[in-house]
Amino acid sequence: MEPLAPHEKVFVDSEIAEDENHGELSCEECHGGNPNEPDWRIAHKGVVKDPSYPDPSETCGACHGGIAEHYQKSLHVSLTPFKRMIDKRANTAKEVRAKVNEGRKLHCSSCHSSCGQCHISRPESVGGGLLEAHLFQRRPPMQLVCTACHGSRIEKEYFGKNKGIKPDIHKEKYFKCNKCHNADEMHGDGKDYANRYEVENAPKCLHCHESIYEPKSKNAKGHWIHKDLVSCHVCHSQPYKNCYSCHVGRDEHGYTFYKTKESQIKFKIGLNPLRSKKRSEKFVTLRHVPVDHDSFKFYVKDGLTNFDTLPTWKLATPHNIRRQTPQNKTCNDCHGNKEIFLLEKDVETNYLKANKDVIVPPDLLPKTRRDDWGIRAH
Amino acid sequence: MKGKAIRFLISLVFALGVSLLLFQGHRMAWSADKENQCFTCHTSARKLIQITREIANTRKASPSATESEGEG
Repeated sequence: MEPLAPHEKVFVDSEIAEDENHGELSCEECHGGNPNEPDWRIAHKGVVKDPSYPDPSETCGACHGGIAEHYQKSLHVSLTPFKRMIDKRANTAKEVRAKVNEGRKLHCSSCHSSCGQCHISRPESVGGGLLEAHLFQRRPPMQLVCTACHGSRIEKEYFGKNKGIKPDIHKEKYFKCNKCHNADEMHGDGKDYANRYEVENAPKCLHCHESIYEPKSKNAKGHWIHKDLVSCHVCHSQPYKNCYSCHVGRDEHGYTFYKTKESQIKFKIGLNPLRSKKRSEKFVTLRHVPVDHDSFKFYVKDGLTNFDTLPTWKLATPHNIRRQTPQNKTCNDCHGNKEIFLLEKDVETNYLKANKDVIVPPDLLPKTRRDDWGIRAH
Repeated sequence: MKGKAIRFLISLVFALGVSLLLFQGHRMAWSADKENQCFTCHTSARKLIQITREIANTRKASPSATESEGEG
């Protein structure tokens, strides 16, 4: 993403006055400040950079009430999963938990979005700056907004930026994020979901690929055999990024920083930790998330004493889909291939307990097939 | 005939009055735009460059942040 010069970040296109919907609003109606004061220092007193965060009801919500109503529950704003995951792992002692929360708010919760940080400016967490000189963008531009935040994993997977890994086939078909992730999903539906996999209007592969089980479709047999056993990603994802050991802190000047170990490109199939009616598959792709026992050590000792209540290998839906992948060329590229399953030997000793429910036990490994025939994904 | 002429005159005066009012409103909006210092300054790249340089100079003395390591 091209960085913006400081003046470019705040340059406003005078054409905004012609915007039939927003052109009649004066700057101070949303941002505050004093429009009659020629000295910029005084004029900016009380100015709110993003008037849509944390509460858009008086600004965007004045006209877009239906969307603003669900705003606080949208995962892009609430970041509920971060809080729930950390709370679950955190020490139950009140003082310790308060310090963990302090760290979470300073680090994990700084990557939120808002109406403005999708439709008007780049997100603050990536340096901000107006998108099209404050002209309102109905569809947020993919690379300046979506993958600006979802960069390390999604962007690199989708665009094929991980060495030796092809881009997602949907990228090659010129799909932008909003082709699958529509506005209703992004804006939230008012329900307080624990994680993104519960979101009811989230996309499913079957929404488009509805005919895969029909007798005439290509590889219908293969799809039927594996139905409810494996997620689509198990067969159609390529290796993806896994992150380890994130530690957060503040330097002597109070600036926040994080340190993570080197990321690794791996492909691991494990047991589904979020098995439900909606995600009934037994085997799913798992991604290692960078949480560590001592992630909040800077703020408090023994912050995450309940670390083992959740796995560090989490259900993942990598965005590097291909029809043919290394594991689906033939049956035995997967069956009997111990390298692609998450086994005990793949997990660091101090993470074993946390991952006990997702590690594939030897008796559940699919056996090598003697008749490696027929079922091809191509 | 005379009545028709009077009605025409009244309509004409009314139409003129309404258009004057509308024009006045439009002119007021434009003049308000012109006086709005936010708009004047933020639509001028030259002014913004000047101010952002001023700000950068005052910030030079501030300590820099510790670089994060690894991927976020």
